[in-house]
Amino acid sequence: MKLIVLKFLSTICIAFLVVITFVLGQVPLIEGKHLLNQYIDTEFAKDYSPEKFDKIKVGMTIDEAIEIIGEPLYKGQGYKDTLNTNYYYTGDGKLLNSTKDNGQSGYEDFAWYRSTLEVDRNNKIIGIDKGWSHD
Amino acid sequence: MKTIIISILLYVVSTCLTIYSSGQASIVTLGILLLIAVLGSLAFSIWFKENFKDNLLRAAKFVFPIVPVIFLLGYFYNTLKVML
Repeated sequence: MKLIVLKFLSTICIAFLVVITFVLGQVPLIEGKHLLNQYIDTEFAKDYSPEKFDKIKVGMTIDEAIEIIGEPLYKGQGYKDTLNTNYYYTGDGKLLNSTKDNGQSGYEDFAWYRSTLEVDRNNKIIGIDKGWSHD
Repeated sequence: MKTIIISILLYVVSTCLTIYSSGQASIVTLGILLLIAVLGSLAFSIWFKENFKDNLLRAAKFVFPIVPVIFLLGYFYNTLKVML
């Protein structure tokens, strides 16, 4: 009788551990980088590509940058409450947008690639922010 | 010996994928996986009829490689789900 109870408890424990392990496997992908398509959750500006963005250097004018990578997705106020302007070439939530477009509920949220140019009042690029955001 | 090598390989792959996706050196995941493997071995050893040590070794031989396989199934389930 004792052995049957132990085997029963063992079965429950093993089933619980299997579920926990399976769920644990999904945890790194929450706001994580997708293995097969790393830009799966990154919205790109029309003519943007990470390779083209790498060609942009501090000191160039924004017009020169636009010639290379095109118009940004959107513009915004510069960091640290300055009069600078930020040009955002990528954005988060590509999967969310496609889910909305398809009328589905629920979506996956992966890491996205930041590509931002900080431009001063003389239209000179004074800062380049690029890298992975796990948010 | 073969089981040990396969297990180490699977744990290394699991850890590497975790580091790649989460963007940080995640030793915690490896620790949790090993803890699950130990607990699973203890739970599974009850099904064998020899002495405790032999049962535990037989169970560990099966459970230790299976744990990262289930972890990888979860990882690739989520990876492939969004691509469909």
